[in-house]
Amino acid sequence: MHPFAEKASIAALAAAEQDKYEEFSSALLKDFKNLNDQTIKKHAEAVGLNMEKFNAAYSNPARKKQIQEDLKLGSSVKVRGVPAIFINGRMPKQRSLAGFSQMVEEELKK
Amino acid sequence: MKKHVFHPAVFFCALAIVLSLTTAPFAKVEWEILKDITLTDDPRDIVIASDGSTAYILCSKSVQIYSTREKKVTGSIPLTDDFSQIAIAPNGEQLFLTKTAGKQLSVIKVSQVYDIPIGTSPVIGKAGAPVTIYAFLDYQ
Repeated sequence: MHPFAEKASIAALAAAEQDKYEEFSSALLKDFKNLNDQTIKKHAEAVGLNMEKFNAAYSNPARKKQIQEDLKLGSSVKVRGVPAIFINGRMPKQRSLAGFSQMVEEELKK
Repeated sequence: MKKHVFHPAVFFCALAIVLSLTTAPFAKVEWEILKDITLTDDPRDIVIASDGSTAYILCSKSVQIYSTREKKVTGSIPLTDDFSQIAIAPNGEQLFLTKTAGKQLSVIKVSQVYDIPIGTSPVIGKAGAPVTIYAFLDYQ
């Protein structure tokens, strides 16, 4: 796991508690090279999170436990590296946008 | 100038010593029965996926799918013909069934479909959508 991956994931869960997961998660992914406590809190403020609630959730041990559970889940479905994508439970053979789109189209036809 | 001489006797002697050092020690096999399962159909042959996750048991009227993780039969592929042998492709994506009497080969595509619980993970999009894309990310 990358050095700040766990904290970033905990922060994303904290943002989800305030229904800001999508915006916050996108901001973290765009700034993936510079993640640390300061930049994470900067992005949290930028997307308009209530910082008091965010800080409480960010330091909540239950969030860390949830990430550990997700790691176990990934291992149980044979995730060997990230990002790993499953479409209706199937791991795409082609790891490209075209490959994902084709699989989604096939699933919609079922 | 120094001359290097290759002496066959020394070489074979050295080789014999290396071989004796690298011979694997004797190991006995320990065993215990983990599970006894009564199948719904008569078994004839069995193959196991290379990752060890799934065993495919060829029976007279079906291929029974056994999950080694769940330790139970999790599915069944019905057969209309009477096959005698089964083999699996190295990537685990195709089963090959043969029938000696009818000079027949049947190839069945198989793929793993995981029932991944969403639980309390963040979700983008509408509940009940026909397609769920589950992403494992780490942000770095």
